[in-house]
Amino acid sequence: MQITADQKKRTLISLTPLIDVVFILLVFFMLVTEFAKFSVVSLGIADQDTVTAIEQTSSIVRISSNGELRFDGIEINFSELTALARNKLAANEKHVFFIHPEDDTLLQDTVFVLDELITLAPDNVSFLREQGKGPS
Amino acid sequence: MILSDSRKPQEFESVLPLINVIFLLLIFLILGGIFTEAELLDVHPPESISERESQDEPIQILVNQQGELAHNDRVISLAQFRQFAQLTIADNPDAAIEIKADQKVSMQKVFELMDIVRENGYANFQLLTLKI
Repeated sequence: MQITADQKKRTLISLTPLIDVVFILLVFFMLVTEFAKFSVVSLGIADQDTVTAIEQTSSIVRISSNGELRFDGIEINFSELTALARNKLAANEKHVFFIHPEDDTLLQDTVFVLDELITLAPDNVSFLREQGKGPS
Repeated sequence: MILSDSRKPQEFESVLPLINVIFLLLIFLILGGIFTEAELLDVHPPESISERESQDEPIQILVNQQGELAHNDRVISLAQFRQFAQLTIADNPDAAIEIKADQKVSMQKVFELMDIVRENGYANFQLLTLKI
């Protein structure tokens, strides 16, 4: 009696093309995929009448072209901004903040200040421009 | 009695962990990422802690560091933007105008755009930022 092992021949599939394709897919997705999350901030400019009307209960934060801050004319560090704004709001919760960047001020510096003030008083922050500059 | 492992190691066995890792990376990138179209101008938006989400399909204007403007894959001048703002706002007064400006652009440029939008009586003006 002959006993033969029932040996099935295994077909080997080459993995090299699979790896090639997967690498190409990987490179493609790495190049086209973006993980950054975007958000938006609303921008509004106060007109001169508004500024005059609420002059008594407002503060102006000036941002120079090199990022230096002045809060109601007093030079401050960025870290002092929140405390000063909080004090103003504690005295009057309707206190309004005007951000007054110079023409050469970078957008990023302005957004940092805007972030700080909007966090404290979302509805009381506006941009201010020098008189004579505006819609033409 | 000699018990030896007569099984021959398959050639591809050594690359199996590599393939596993690559597949995992691939799945991560496919599921976790957002596909973006290449933009005409090189713009790095400012960083912000704002949590507000952008509206669906806003009218987006790109502004690069040099102050050049682009909309719909076309570089436009300030005069063209003014014309565009007039037409767009007349057609679609509820749409949001979203400025995707470079973090190093001067505020003068941003104000110019804001002024044009405002003089057309439009209030829904937003700045796109990168969430920190």
